[in-house]
Amino acid sequence: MLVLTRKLGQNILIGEKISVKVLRIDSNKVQLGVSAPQSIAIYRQEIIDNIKDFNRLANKTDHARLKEAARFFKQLLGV
Amino acid sequence: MKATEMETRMKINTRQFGDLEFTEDLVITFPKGIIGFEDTTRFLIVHDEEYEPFRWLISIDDEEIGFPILNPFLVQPEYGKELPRSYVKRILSSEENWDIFCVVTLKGEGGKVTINLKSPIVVNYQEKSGEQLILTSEELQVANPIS
Repeated sequence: MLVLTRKLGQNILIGEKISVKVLRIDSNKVQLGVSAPQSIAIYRQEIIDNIKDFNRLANKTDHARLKEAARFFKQLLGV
Repeated sequence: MKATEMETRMKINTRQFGDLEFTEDLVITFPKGIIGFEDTTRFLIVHDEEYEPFRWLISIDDEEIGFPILNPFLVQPEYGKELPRSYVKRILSSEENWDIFCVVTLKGEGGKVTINLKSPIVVNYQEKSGEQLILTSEELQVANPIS
């Protein structure tokens, strides 16, 4: 990991098309502005972690219990 | 000799269904895999009356991997508004066959169903390809309880 110290208003350039600017500094948080082409997705780390955890949990689904849930759902949907 | 006669029936052993036979034309390829499971790229979508309306996204590459999925429009009829416009345009305009699914989990003793509306799975049956998207809307949560 490259560690850089930036002051308010300073920029970091990543490759040729991505830049990160420090917009605001509070005591316990930093507001960053990220510029990147539309083709590059930008996510908060926690969202990715949450989705991974959710998928892992889904992978362990007890199929007997899912069948029960399916029966309940069919009633709910009136199918 | 017809192509169909030459199609090999392949078989995998799954945790959910035991032995499952299938042909290559049913395989959906996820070039980027699924989030957290990037190495598994080949899947089957399995329907079974006992699980309906849930279906299963089953990995061919790894017998241990399979996800219960649900059509999100059943629980959120307006879900189309959340999808990226580029996809919506393609889905509405083309004659291709698409499906949108969201992964579900069961939580707690009551087996409450939770659906991930934040990152849907989009499948194109013509191209036989799929991917898991992450929607940009800040309001969308990963874990959404159903009923």
